[in-house]
Amino acid sequence: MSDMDQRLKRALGEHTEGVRVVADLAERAIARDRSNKRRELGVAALAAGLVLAVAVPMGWGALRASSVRPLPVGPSQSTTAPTGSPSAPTNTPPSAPTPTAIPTLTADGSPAPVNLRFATGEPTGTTKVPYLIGDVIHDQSRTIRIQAEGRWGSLSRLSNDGWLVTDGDTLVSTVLDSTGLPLTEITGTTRVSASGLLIAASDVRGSLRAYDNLGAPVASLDVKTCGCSSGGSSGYEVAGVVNTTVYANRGDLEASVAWDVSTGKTRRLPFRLSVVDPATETAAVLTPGAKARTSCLELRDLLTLRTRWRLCGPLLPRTFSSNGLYLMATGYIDGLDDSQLNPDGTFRYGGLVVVRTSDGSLVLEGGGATGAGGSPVSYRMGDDSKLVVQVGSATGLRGLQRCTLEGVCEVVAPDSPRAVDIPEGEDPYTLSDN
Amino acid sequence: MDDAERRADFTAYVRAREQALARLAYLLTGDRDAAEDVLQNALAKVYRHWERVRAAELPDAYVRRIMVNESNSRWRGLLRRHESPSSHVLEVIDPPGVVGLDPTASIDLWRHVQGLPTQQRAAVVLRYYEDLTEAQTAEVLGCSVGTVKSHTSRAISALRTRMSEATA
Repeated sequence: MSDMDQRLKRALGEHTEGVRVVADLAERAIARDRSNKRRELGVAALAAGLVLAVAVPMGWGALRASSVRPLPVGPSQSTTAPTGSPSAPTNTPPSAPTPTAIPTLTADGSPAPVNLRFATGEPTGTTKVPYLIGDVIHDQSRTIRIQAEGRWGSLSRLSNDGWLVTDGDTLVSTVLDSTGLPLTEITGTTRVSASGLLIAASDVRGSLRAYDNLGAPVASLDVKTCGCSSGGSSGYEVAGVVNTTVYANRGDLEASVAWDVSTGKTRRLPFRLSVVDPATETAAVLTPGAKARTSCLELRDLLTLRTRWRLCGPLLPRTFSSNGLYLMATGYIDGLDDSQLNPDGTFRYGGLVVVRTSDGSLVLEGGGATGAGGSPVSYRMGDDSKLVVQVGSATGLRGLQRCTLEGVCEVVAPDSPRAVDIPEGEDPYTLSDN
Repeated sequence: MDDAERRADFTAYVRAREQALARLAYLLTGDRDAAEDVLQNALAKVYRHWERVRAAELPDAYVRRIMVNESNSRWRGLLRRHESPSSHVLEVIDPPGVVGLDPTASIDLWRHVQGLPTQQRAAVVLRYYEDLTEAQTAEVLGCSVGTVKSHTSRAISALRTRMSEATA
C-alpha cells in the first residue's frame, strides 16, 4: 500500500468520525417512502425509482399485450394558443435565431413579474378543482364520502362521474362509482387521461396495464418489451396518458415509450419524461446542464420530438395546467450546485413557479424570499387558469387557496394539520390530477 | 410478513447499520444535507422492497448500490420540504485530526476527494473506506472491474497531483 493509499484511508476515516445519526432514521425512511409514493401518485415520477434487479414472477398471464379490446374513445383534447402577446423572457434572450435553433433561456433568479400573495382568514372562495381531505371528496358544491378504508394519496376524476383514489402506503388504487362505492382495485402507479376514460398503471413488476373507467383491463404491455433491465431498473414507469396513448419511462434510462392501447403499437422516445401535458401532447423533460448538479427544463413535442424551448436553471417541473398554457415548477430542489443557489445559499426560486408554455417565460412565483404568508406545497391549475394551492405554514398546518395569475389569493379550505410532524409528513389535502 | 413485522424487521436492520451507512453517505456527498437526502431516499427505496432486500445474501451490497445510484442521480432533483429545517437526521462534527497527518494536508486531501468526478469519488470511497475488493466495487457501481481500476488509478493520480501542487 502506497503512502497516498494510507493517507487517503486515514483522511476518509477521520472525516467520518464526527458523523452521527441523531434521529430515528428508520422512521424517517419509512415516512420518506410514503412521501415518495404520494409524489409518484400525485404529480410526476420525478425521481427514477431504483428497484432492485431481483425478478419476482407474477401471475399476470391472463393479460397480454395482444389482449387489446376496443376502448371507448373520448373527445380529443384541444390545443389553445396563449392569448395576448407573449411577454419577453425575463432572463437572457434566446440563442441565435436560426430556423433550427432551440430558444434557450436561463432561470437566473430574476424575480418573476408577479408574486403570489397568500390570503388569511376564513374560507371565502371556491374552486372547480376537486380535492380530497380525509375520506371526503369535494367537487365544487358536492361532497362524496369514500366508502373504503385507506390513506388516500391521489385523486383522479373518471368520465362516468366516478373517481380513482390511491392508497399512498400500498399503491393500490380503488375505482369508485359516483357515490363513493368501491368497484374494483388496481395495483401500481397510475395515471388517468384528461377525459377520465382511460386508466394506465405500471405494476410492481414494471409492466404497463390499461383499464377502462370502470377498472376493467383493456390492454397490457409486458415488462419484457421494456429493454431496460440492464440498468438495474424496474421496467416501465407510467408518466402520463394522452387520449389512448400511454407514455412511460423505461426504467432508469433516459428514454421512454409511447404505447397506443387501442392498436397495441409502441414508439420509443429518446428522452425521459418528467410531466406529460395531455392538452398539447408535450412533455417537460429534464436534461443535465453544462455543469454537474445543474439541469435544464425542456418542453418536448411528443409526436415530432422537437424541443420547443429550453429553460436552464434550478426548476423542477411538477404539473401542467389543464389547458396546457402553463407549466408549474418548483424551485425547492435538493442537491443543487452552488452556482444554482443565491450567494447566501438559499434557493433562487420558491416552491411554485409558473412558466408560460408558449415561450418558456416565467410569469409568477410563490413562496420565494419575497413571497408572503406561506409556502406552496402542491398545486393544480384548471382550464380557467386559476391556481389552487395547498399552502403550508411554518407550524405545519396546510390550507387551500385559489389564486389568480395576478397573484391575488383567497382561502378555499381552512388550515388542517399534517398526519406526522416531520418534513415528510402527510399533507391533508390531495388535489385532483385531472 | 405483515406490515408491523416488516416495519420492525427493517427498523432493526437500520438501527444495526445506520452509523456505517450515514458515514458512507457523507463520504459520497461531502455535505450533511446531501448526505441526509441520499441516506433517507436510499433507505426509503430499501423499505419499499424490503422483502427482496432481506432475502438477499448480502443486503448491505444492495443498500450500498442504491446509495451510490442516489448520489449519482441527484441532479434530477428531489423535492425538499422546508418546514422543519432544524429537524436534521445527521450531526457532523469537525474531525479532531489524524495522528501522523498534517491537519492542513488532511483537510486538503478531503477537499480534493470531494472535487473528484462522481464515479471516481465513489470508487475511492468504496475501495479505501469500505475496503471492498475491485470486484465488489464494480458490482456496487454497476460497471466492470476494469472500469473500477481505471476510476481508482485516475483518482489517485489526480489526488497526488493536486497534493503536490498544494505543497509546491
